[in-house]
Amino acid sequence: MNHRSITPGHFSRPNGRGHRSQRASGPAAPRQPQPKEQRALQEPRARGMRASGTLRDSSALRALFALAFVLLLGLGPAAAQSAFALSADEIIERMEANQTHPTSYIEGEMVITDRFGDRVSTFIAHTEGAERFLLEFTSRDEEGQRVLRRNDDLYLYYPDARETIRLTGSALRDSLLGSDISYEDMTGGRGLADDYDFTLRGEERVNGRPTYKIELTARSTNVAYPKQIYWVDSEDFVLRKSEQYARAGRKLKVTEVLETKEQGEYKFPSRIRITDQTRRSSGTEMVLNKVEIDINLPRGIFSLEELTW
Amino acid sequence: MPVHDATQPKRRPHAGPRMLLRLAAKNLTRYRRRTMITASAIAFGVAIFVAMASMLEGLIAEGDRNLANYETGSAALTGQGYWDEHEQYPLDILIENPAPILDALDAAAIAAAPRVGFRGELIVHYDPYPEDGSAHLSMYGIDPERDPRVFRIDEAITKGRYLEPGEHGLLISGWLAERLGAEVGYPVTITTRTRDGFHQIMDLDVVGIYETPNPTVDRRTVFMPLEIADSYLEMQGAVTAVHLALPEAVPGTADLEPVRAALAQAGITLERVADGRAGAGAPPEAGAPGSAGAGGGAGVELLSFDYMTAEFAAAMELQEAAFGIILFLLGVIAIVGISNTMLMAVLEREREIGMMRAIGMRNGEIRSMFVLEAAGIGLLGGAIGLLIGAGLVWYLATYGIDYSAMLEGVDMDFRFDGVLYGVWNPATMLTTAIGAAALAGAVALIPVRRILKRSVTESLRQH
Amino acid sequence: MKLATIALRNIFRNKRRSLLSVTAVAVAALGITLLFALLEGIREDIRHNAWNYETGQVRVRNAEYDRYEYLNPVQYVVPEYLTLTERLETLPEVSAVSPRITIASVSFRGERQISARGIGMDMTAERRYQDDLEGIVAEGRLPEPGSTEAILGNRLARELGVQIGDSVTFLTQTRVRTSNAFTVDVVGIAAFPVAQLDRSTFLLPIERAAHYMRMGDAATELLIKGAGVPTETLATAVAAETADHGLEGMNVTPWSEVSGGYAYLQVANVVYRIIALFFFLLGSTVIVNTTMMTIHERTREIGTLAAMGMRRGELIRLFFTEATYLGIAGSLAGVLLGSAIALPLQHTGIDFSAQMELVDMDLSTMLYPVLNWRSTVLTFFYSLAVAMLASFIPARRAAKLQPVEALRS
Repeated sequence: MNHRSITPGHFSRPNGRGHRSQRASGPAAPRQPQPKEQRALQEPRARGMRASGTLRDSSALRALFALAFVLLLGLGPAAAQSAFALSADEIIERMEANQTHPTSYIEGEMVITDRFGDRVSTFIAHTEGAERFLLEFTSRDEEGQRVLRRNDDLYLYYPDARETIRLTGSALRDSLLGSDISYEDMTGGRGLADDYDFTLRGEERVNGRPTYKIELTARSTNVAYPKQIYWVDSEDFVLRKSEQYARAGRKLKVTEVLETKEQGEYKFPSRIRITDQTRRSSGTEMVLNKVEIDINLPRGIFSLEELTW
Repeated sequence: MPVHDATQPKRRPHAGPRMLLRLAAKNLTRYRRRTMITASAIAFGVAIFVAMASMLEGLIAEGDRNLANYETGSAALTGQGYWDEHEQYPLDILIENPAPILDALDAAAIAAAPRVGFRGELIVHYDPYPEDGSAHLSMYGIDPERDPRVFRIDEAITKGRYLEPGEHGLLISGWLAERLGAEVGYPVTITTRTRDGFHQIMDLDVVGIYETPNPTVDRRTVFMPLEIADSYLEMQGAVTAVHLALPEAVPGTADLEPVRAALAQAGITLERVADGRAGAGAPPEAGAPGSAGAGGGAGVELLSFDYMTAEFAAAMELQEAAFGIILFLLGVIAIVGISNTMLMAVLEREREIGMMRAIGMRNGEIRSMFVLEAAGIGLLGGAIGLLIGAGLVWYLATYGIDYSAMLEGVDMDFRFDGVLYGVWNPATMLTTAIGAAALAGAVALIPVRRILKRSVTESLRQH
Repeated sequence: MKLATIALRNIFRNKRRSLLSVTAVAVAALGITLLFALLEGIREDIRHNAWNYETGQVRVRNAEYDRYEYLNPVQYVVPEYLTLTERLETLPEVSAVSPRITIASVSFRGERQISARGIGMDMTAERRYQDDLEGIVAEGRLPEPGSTEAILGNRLARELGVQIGDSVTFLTQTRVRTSNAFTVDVVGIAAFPVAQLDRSTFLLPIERAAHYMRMGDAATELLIKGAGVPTETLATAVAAETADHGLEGMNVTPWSEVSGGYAYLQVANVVYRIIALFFFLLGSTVIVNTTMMTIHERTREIGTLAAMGMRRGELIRLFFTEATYLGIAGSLAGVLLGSAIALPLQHTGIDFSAQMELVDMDLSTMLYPVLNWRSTVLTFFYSLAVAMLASFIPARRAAKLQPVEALRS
């Protein structure tokens, strides 16, 4: 599973009005022009990828680019502190690079609190870039339930059902297992830059860490949140906190990063809590207990056929 | 038994039609008592049948009225294909610019109310509420000035008050208020999506609690001013529907042509007029309206009441059929009552008929005379019956039968009038009266025929 | 000569007139008898539906479920329903118990979400609970116990675009408030007696429903029918047994408190009384009119009898006796004929399907009239009383006339 899915603020909302075909995966999809040098850098790197055939998406590429950039300049995440006078775009880019992994294997759990009490679900996940993941629940009550994301499509598989459910339209607004994460929070994610403009709003301390406060303003209407604020660690570029806002400016959700993990060059949130600001008694905590990055994924793991094995 | 004064017919053996008419009329006035009894049989039959028909129609119409008054209006204008999807509350099939439509309807004096319907979650919290709570509901932005012209939510307020334009106010139902523990003045939070799909939150205050006789509305609907819905949902003036109120006694009977004409005059052509109950349950093509980009607002269609309520109509069919049987039974009693009195009235006059024949009146003439006489009684009875019936219907339609006192321990989840209202149906009333008169005439013919078949002497022998 | 004999003779002397009088009374009585049977049939239908599909005669549910019903709080259950069902069924007051698991679900059809309500039923025990469970099957058959089969309301099936042999997947929320989806095989199309059910409901075996909903050994509710005992008695007995079983926080609710059907029935009762009033009114006028006409036509006869020295009281009694005989004959004929029509219909039913072009499938278009003996007897005496009263007034009037006057008329 991609870590993006645990920070619900990132993802755009596929709508039912015909943008979908346009937004389908593939290099042909129109996107923001990127600086030339970045392209020059990302292409050779991409060709050398293991799963190059499936890694076509810009954000994955950009993630790789960011990684390459860091490696080329000899700046590991730990050294990022020396990055001086970064633009908001660059900060977000670094954060995404931290969170976007070529492939990964994750074991984690979700603690969902609602007015009727707490419950825990455990899961394992495989991810590839920003756009593909397969989530499988292992806790008793949900055992065998899977969520597959392929580009902008989301599929649900349940052991009791003989067909997979492809979520479209308003069904995407439903929440995952009754948590504070909606299915649409799990889609999108070609990179925040596609949908948002970033403005640096200064530096603040969050939980004792120095952070950049960055305001994200929706550029398109394809996303669920018109405005978000991210607090990105100014030393290791890990997201420390984010807030999602409704159109009228009211705060909708708050995501707090409680723990982080470091794996190779990557440092990312590993325990987060999402609280719905419109209701007091609910919240979702997500914990990544085990993360392996850059692993070999089983062949065809993200195919629909494999979903039902 | 009446003794016939035979002097008149004897002198005029070949009676013309006018003559027969006069004779029949004279007989009517001569046997006043018999005429009265027979006429009253018809009058009662007609009056009670008419009142009953009005009441049963009222019972059936009650459901329709609840739909028309609180959900649909007499008809509605929507974006193309909206109705097929209306249960999903799509915000992409819209009437983009309702202003010219409203202007055109105003010019034609057709009551119209624009609404924005959407889904949202209403959230309340402990203090002032007894506990946290939430409910997914249908929400409507309504124009506080125009909406009462079509709907009756304003009359259904039981606590607090109706909405005022542009205020951050909300109307919730008594049913929901009870479950959430809401009172007038309490704050609520509503989460929903804007037209473009952004998350949105509204903070509104409960300004009124309503209770309609329509449980579907009460259980899942809240209302807020149209301006609020428009600004928070970023509708840019677009609405999901314009509901209309047309003059009609029973929902679904209104003529839609004036609406079409009024719009045509303003240069607005309708994409489609969906009339009748054809739309029932027809599975719409999957995803067609959603993905076809129908949001342009160009295609507006006019939906009749029947089209919008096809589903409910089906549910009412059994009741309607049962009422049909009830009316039929009542009709049988009335018919037998009328026929009986008429038969008896004629049979008792066998000697009279014998006499007429003895003095040389032709059978045809006697037949005509009796039929005319009977028809006269029929018309008299029918007219009186119609008058009494109209009086009863007037009472039923105006005051209704208040039977709430007869209901013990019925705890309805929705406002329940306990008043049974009748419905005016001039066509039924006229048909009944004319039918009764015709029946009287036709029935008279049977015994006359029988008597005419017997010999004159035999008839005369009857006392 | 005795008055009774004269009266009888009079009746047979003018057979035609007597026949007309009798017919008037008979038709009025017949109409009212049939009306009552029809109304009782509708009432029975409402009760039947409420008991079978809404609340039972008495319902056992978790109190919290009742409280938060609008939120579909599936986690509030009736635990260990099997043992409780067994215990309840041993009660003399109880005739049958139907444990149910409700599944609020949606099925996806393209962009559309179609809501449906699954009811998990014990397919074997349910046949004891509903005497005519098979009666709802319009096509195909009922699901086998423990299978993945289901029977769908016909409007739901149409909405989903499925037929027998197809399968449908429903998404729902389980007892532990996580989501689950399951696929059922459509083995039957049901014609539920209520349009609302037809549009939204599917039945499946409770064992599968329990698995899909992660219910364990719990059920959403138990519907209970009594063995001909009053609802309160049944409710008390069930409540005592439930408490004795050690179950706490359960609501034992008689249908009269919660059923929409019950409320509707109360309203219907009143409305039907009003309808019956109309019938009585018209029936009375028909009887009164006919009797008045008879006596009017016999004014001369009354004069003759009076001239012959019959006393007024005797005269009135004579006519009264005649009317009574005719009234008895008419009422009896009407009530008997009415019963003769209603009784076979009690089983065959009246088929309304012809009237319902719109509802192409056989949605409960059958109405079964029910002959209620009490109301039938009432109808008999009512018609008789009206016939007697109706004769009394004009007879008294006629008897008041001087013999000469009466003869002259």
